[in-house]
Amino acid sequence: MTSMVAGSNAALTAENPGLDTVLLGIGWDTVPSRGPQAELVPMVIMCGQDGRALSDDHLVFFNQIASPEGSVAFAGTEDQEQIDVALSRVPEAVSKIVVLLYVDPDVRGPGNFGAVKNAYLRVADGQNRELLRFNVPRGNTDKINAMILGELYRHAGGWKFRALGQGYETGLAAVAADFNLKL
Amino acid sequence: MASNRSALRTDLDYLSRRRKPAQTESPRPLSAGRAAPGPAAPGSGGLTLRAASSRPGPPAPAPPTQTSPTQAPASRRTITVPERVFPAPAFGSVRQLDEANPVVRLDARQSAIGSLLVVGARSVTWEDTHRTTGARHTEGHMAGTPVITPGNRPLADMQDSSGIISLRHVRLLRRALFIAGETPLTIGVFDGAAAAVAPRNDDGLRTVLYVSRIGAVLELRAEYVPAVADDPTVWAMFGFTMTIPLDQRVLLR
Repeated sequence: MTSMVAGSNAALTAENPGLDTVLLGIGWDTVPSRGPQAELVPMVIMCGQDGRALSDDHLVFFNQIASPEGSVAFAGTEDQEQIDVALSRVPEAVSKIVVLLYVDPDVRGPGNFGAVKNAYLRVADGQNRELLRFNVPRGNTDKINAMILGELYRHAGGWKFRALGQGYETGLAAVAADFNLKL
Repeated sequence: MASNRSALRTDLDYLSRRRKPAQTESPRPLSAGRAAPGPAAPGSGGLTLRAASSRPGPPAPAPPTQTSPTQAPASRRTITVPERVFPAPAFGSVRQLDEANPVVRLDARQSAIGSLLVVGARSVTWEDTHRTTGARHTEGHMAGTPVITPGNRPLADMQDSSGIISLRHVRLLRRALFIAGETPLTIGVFDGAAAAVAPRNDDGLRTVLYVSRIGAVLELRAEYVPAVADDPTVWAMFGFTMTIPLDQRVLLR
């Protein structure tokens, strides 16, 4: 298992010939509270070469749990969520697969990442053997309400993974604008 | 969180972990005891994965004989809700619900992000997937049993004269009613889509907004009841029976 820092990348398929399926595990811990809590939701966006989502259907999250062709699917509750990516079945039009966490924008005080003690994204192979782990660095996240954890992207005929930890202060609205999604 | 990899996701109605057939070949270890890391593959400017320790980091890998995503079927095309149910206008395409256009359907994203807000309701009534029912009036009194979500918020509630459903936990909801007061109902979701319903129809009947969940999506339907009907009468008309809440003194023992 290799730990990654924000901005680093790793050659997934070049270093692991034959790797066809990767499992993305996302987990976090929040400060316990008796009152309303920030509720983190993982989301995956399949983007084309322009960096925008291919379509609104190429957004995968708990209520839309598979991409139209089925190459990306939410499939387990270990960690907090697990996402399977069948790399060979990802449409050619998809250049990168972005993994993010957002705070659900409930009108009754949604909260932010300030309540998050730790969060991680790990990349494993089809047997759930961990290849990479990105622990989101702790910092002042009191204004953050959505965060790109990392991305899988095509490179030289294979796939690489980049750790990011890029926060948004305007939540899903900013995510929707960046990726041209109707949210 | 749960660590039982063999358990099927009962909340996912058409997808579950694939079961891997009996293993016939040992998987190639990530760190194969190489004396020295090999040269990076062409184009690889990142970290080497081959130098990883053979000891798995937490969380521990599951036994490979249980479930694994490696044996995915050739095609897993999902059957979407619109393919299974009759056509209905998309939420946002109809600005006003009435007897001529009584139904709209939210998509999976509208149904699951933020809150379903209904301004102008005098009360909200809910029924969750365990058939737990309850209702709250805009004046504050409540009947039945609240459903508290993992985020410590009620699944359905009234706040500032508005009815609210927590869409993060839409999968807990079976159906809900918003009984109109004397002002129009305005319904909105996170993406800005909205619709309005008059509080009475031309015959003077009171509007009730009936919310039902069909798989991943919510459907909204304007229904009409006698204007003089009180809330319990309306509940009965829609088949709601309030569940008796458990006494907290028993639960806390």
